[in-house]
Parts: sequence; structure tokens; C-alpha cells
Amino acid sequence: MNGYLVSLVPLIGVNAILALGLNIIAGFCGQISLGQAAFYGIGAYAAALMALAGLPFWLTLPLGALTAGVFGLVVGLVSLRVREDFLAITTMAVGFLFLGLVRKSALFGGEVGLTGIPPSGLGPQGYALLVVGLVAATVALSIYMKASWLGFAFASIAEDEGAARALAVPVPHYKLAAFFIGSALSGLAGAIYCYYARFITPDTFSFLVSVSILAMVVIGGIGSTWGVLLGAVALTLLPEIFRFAGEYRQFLFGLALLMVMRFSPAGLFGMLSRLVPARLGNLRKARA
Amino acid sequence: MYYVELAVQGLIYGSMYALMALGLTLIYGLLRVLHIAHAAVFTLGAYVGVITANATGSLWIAFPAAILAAVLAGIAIYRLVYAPLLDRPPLVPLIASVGLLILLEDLFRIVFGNQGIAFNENPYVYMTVTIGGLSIGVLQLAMFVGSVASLSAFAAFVAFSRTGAAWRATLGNPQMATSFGVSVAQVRYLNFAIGSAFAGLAGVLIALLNNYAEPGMGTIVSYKTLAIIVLGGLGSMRGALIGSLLLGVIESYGTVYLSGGVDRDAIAALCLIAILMFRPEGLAKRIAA
Amino acid sequence: MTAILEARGVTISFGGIKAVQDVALTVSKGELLGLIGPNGAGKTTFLRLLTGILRPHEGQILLGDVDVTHRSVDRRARAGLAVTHQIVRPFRAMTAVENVMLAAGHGFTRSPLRAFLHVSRVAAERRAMQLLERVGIADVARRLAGTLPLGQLKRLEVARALALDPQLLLLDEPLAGLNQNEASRLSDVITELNRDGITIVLVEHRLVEVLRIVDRLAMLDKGRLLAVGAPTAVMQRADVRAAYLGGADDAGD
Ligand SMILES: Nc1ncnc2c1ncn2[C@@H]1O[C@H](COP(=O)(O)OP(=O)(O)O)[C@@H](O)[C@H]1O
Ligand SMILES: [Mg+2]
Repeated sequence: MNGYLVSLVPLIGVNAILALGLNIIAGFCGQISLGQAAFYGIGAYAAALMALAGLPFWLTLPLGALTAGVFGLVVGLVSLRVREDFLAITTMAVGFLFLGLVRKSALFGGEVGLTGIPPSGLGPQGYALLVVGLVAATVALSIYMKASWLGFAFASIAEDEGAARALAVPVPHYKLAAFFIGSALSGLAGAIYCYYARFITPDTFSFLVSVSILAMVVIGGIGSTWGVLLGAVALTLLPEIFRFAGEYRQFLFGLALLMVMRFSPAGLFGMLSRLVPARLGNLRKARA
Repeated sequence: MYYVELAVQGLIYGSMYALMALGLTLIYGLLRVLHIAHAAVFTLGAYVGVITANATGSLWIAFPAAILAAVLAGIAIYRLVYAPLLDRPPLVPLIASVGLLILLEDLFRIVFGNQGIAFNENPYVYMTVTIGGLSIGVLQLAMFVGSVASLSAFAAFVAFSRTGAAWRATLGNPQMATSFGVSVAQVRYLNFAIGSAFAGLAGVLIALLNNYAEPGMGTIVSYKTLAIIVLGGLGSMRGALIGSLLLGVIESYGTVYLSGGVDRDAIAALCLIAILMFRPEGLAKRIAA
Repeated sequence: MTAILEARGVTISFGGIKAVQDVALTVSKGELLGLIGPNGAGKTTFLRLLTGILRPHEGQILLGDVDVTHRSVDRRARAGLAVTHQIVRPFRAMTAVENVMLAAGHGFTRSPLRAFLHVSRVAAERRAMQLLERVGIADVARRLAGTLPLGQLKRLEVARALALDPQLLLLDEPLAGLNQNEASRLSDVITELNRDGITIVLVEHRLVEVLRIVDRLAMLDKGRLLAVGAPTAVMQRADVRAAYLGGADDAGD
């Protein structure tokens, strides 16, 4: 592999894991999150602080994920109180709150962020391989989860929470599980990013990043593991392939989101599948 | 005196939030769409205001031009984006709206540059007046007066005019529209027009206050006003107004007393999360009760 | 006879309107109780209070001898209380059999971890197919629920509720929207279920069917329990007749 490609792999991997994590929350369980960058950031900052404190790489990665997962549980608790539109805005607010706290805190390096993060010790090739392995594991987890009774119950909650409860599904526990797993995956992505970039700044975790993650999910096809994976790869590569697009990257993101929602809400790849449009329909709740 | 000054500052910002939040509430109340791209309409108002003022040298032309541009943009957004998506799940128009905001913000950046554009001359920036021993910037005062005046005019229109009555009845029950001789579509257009006009006005006022318009100026305002309307109980106009003023004041004090812990822009998030944990329906119910 | 469910002085109001007012009713183990009343009498609201979708402003609800007033819907369902919705709520994106399977797998869905550790749907599917057969819609098992007509969705609701292996089944107008044939067939199924040991509360508009199958009859009017007792005795009361014929206003209190 040449150096350029090797350097791209972790980036693609980070986005893929972020998107697959959000897909568990939004695609499987039907809960909207507009603040996923916060968990990405929590994972990255947690891993960075632990790495700077001297913890070994193989420990910081899972601990970063776990930290983000725990914060995900807290936001999950909010999701038990508020629904739909309220939840969308609340998660958006969580993203801004995270940035607001990090920017002002000396512990997190303020606006400058954290630098001097030690290398993973695997070398670029080894790191790329590890990331590929982690993406594969995340894909496998998603596919298994969807096939398991967990995925089955998630699908029922996504479609009609009330009906699911009447069928003895303890909905709050499931929502918390979705937020925990999805956020832990975002945290894992953050930890991976932290060793990849070796420095982190608050801007890496802005609202735009939350939206980009959402874009990968919906453009790929919400609820579909392969679709979301393809969405993540495509949206990471497009600006890289079309270098000229660099300046229009955001513009194209916005345009893509708008056009996909306007003309094919099931996502580009999801169009092929019968289940995905139905799953998206699941997000509609009775608004009597 | 210092406390009073902070409160006054807060109310001034709160009045601007109110202009924005009212539009969002109107649109949410009728369509159940979280119109995040409202921020782009606000930014458009700012740009058109600056450009027109620089071209003509007159704010008297700049304001109506900005408002007109905002109204046209709002109507176009409804027509081209939301109207075709109304029977979709709520996530669809929401994401479309986010996409539209990003697209338009970047368009401003691509066309007018990263730095934004400034007024050629803005003699009011440093002018102050003294009221009751309190020194207030002329533009801040203008923002407050402008917001209060336009919101009052709107309230009067709703309360006293025939169209206002029809409009109010229709908000509660869209099927009523026909009995007033208006169509549901007309009321929707009217909503977008009024909401966008307020956003355009707020845009120029903020541009004047900062002396320039920049591409990303809407994002933070958008997130805050969304937080406000959620706080206010989504769809409740009174809740939105009270939430706006409250957030303005809390931010004003918070910037002084919380500055070590969080930055100004995170205060809205803090309020939102804190209040929703205790009142998942927002403030409106308590106010109504 | 032991009580399986008891409502004690249950009251709820919506913005000043008392939809259910001081209702005290005991359901005995094994019985088939009919609950009737004119439109808007509060029948659906009462069932919602029993299942926990709504919380009473006053009063208590006991399941067996446990006070479940503050328990969530899913915990009551797990304790053996199943319900069908008057306005059907199928998972439209799932097939009919999947709808029933989800309920049949209530052992797996007890907790997210348990659900995560189980994949096989074979047993749940077998059980679901039996139930679909029982209510007479096995032939549409593989169709998406969203594409089924109302009559079949009504029966899907019943199959789904049965898949919870309930002790007590609350049926909210299960016969509405069914043609005469389907209705009498489903009410036969209801009687059979009752004979198999499931206690049933049946809210139903079709008096003929109700009177044909119930053991006991309760009548709600304007949120109040007007009468309870043997079906013929209840139906003979003048106030019940008046209320049922919509002449409640002249009946006097
Ligand atoms: N969620 C609610 N909000 C307000 N009013 C309600 C609500 N649910 C029921 N009601 C009112 O309570 C009364 C009883 O309704 P319901 O229980 O559906 O009657 P039934 O099922 O006997 O026809 C009606 O007047 C109805 O309008
Ligand atoms: Mg009813």
C-alpha cells in the first residue's frame, strides 16, 4: 500500500465507525441524535488524556469507548424524558454544551486542544490494519445485532414505542442500550482518531461533524449496515478524490443531504432494499 | 447598577432571539417542521442589508430590501423544500433543513468570502445614549425597540384584524381555514412570510450591531432559538417569547459568573437540558396553568 | 372466586372533563366480563388506566393482590396483562407473523442483554403461526402488516396479545370493522380462550355478540359505572337502556 492510501484508511475507519454507531441509535432504535460529535469528542479527549498520563494504547482505546458510552447513557436518560423533535434539539444542545465546556477548560487544553499524544506503536501500516479490523468488527456487530432479538425489539420501538411497551418490551432499557452502544462506538472512533492525528482540537467535534455523521447515515440508507458503511466511505473519499471539491466540501454535503431527503429519503444505497424505506417510515409516529 | 446593566443587555439580546424564535414557532406550530434553515434566512437578511446599505448609502432602503429578500427566500424554501416533504416522517424535513442551512452558509462563504462583508460606513456603531443613568448603544436600543415594535405590531395584527383572526383560528385547526375563505396553503405561505420577515429584520439588526455580516453568523443563533422554542414548549408563542428574554438575561449574567466553566454559547444548552429534565414538555404548560 | 384485577375508585380527567370517575370494578379469575357503554363513556380510557398507558389521578389498580398503579405498561404486560387497541397499532413495516413473534418472544425481550444473546426465532415463529391460525389469518402471515385490511388487523391485534401468554386479556372493540361472519368466528375464539382459562374483559359495541358470550356485564356512562351484574339483569334496567339508546340525558341521575 502506498503512504497516501495508508493515511486515508484510519480516516475512513473513523467515519465508518461513527456512522455505524449512529445507525444503531437512529436507524435501529429510531432515536434522533444531532449531537454525535460530542461522544466522538469525549472518546478522543478521554483517550488523549489517558495516553498523556502514560496509559498504554491497548487500554486507552476501550476506556475511551467506555467513557463515551457512559456519557451516552446520560443522554439516553434525557431521551427517556423527551421525544422526537425535542430529542433532536436536546442532542444538538449536548453537542454545543460539550464544545462550550472543552473550550473553557484548561484540562482539555481550551481552544488549542491537546498535543503531544504518543504514537500507537503499531506504525502506519499496522495502525491501518487495526482500524480495518475494528471496522470489520463493528460491521459484524451491527449485522449480528440486527438479526438478534435486540435488533427485533429495536425495530418495534423505532416504529411504535407504545405498541412495543404493550407487548412487554421494556422500552427505556432498550433506548439506554442503544445510546450506550452507539455512543461507545463513537468514543472508539474518537480514540482511533486521537492516535491517528496525535493532536486534537475542539473544532474537530463541531456541529458540522455531527451533521456529517448523520449525512453518512441517511445518504447511505438509514437502518442498513452496508448502506451506511458505503455512505461513510463515499463521503470520506469524495472530497479526497475530487480535490478541487475541497473548497466546496461543505456545500456538497449540504446539497447531498438536501437532495437525498428531497428525492430519495431512503438513501442512495438503501433504495435497493425493500426493508429500508419501511424502516424509515418507522420513524413516523402517530401525531394525533 | 451593574446588575441592571447586565439585565438590560440580556433583554436586548433576548429581543433578537424573540424575533427569530417567533418565526420558528409559527412554522413549527403549523407544519411540525423544525426549520433549522431559518438561520440561513437570517444570514441572508444580514448580507442583503449590508450590500444594499453599501450600494445606496441608505439604511431606509437596506431594511426593506433585506426583509423582502428574507420573505422571498422563506417562501421559496417552503415551496421547494418543505411542501413536498410534509407527509414524510419528521426526520426527513429536519435533515433536509440541516442540509439547506449548510449549503446556504457555504454559498455565502463561496460568493462573499470567508471574512464576510462589512458596512462601508456605520456611524451608529459607537454612538450611545444615556437613559436613567444607563449608557446604552444606539444600535442596541434600536434592536430592542425594533424587535418590540414589530412583535407588538404582529400581536396587534393577530388580535384585531380580520385576517389575523382567520389566521389564528387556522393555526389551531387548519380545516377552519376554508370557513374564513382562505386556503391552508395561503396560511402556510403567510406563516413563512411573517416568520422570515422577522428573521431578515433580526439579520440586519445584528449585522449593524457587529458592523458586518459573516457566513456562519446564523448557526449559533439557530441552535439557540431552537433551544428556546423547545424550552418554550414547541409551538407555544408565549413560551417562545418568555424563553427568549429569559435566555438573553441568563446568558448575560452567565457570561460574567460562569465564564470560567462554560462559554456563552453553551449556556443555552445548559438551560435546555436542565429544564427538560424537570419539565419534558417545556415551560409552556406551567405558564398556561 | 378470586379477584385477578381490581380497580378502586379510579378517576381521571382531561382538561376538566372527567373521563373516568370513581370507578370500582373487580374482575374475577376465569370470567368473561363484558364492558359496554355509549360512545365517549370512558371505556377505552378505563382500559388504558388498567394497562398503565394512563395514570389515574385518584384510585388504585391491583393485579392479583399487587398494587400496580405506578407500574409501567411493559411490566404489567409481563405480569400477564395483555390488551388489544381499539385503533389498531400494528408494526406496519413488519410482516403479520413478525408482529406476533415479537410478542411471542417476550422471554427474550425481557432485557436488552438477553435479547442480544438470542438469535433463533424458530420457536417464536412456530407459536406465532399457531396463533395466527387460531384467529384465522394464517394465510396472510407473510404480508406486511401495513398492507392488511382493517378486519385482519383487528385479528392480528388479538393474536399479538395472546402471544404474551396472558392471564388477563383486555379487548377493546375487537369485532368492530369485521363482517358478520368474521365477527361471530372471532367471538367464538374469544369464548374458547376464556374456556382455556384466560380471564377476559371485552369492550364491544355489538350487543348481540356481547350478550351471547359474556358471563357478566358492566355498563359505563359518562365516566361512571352505572351497573354491574348478570347480563339480562343489567340490560333490563331502565337507566341502562336509556343511556344505551343515547337518551342518557333524560334518564335522570
Ligand atoms: N387523551 C385524551 N385527551 C382528552 N380527552 C380524552 C382523551 N382520551 C379520551 N378523552 C375523552 O374522554 C372521554 C371518554 O373517551 P373514551 O374512553 O375513548 O370513550 P369510549 O371508549 O367509551 O368511546 C371522551 O369524552 C373523550 O373525548
Ligand atoms: Mg373506545
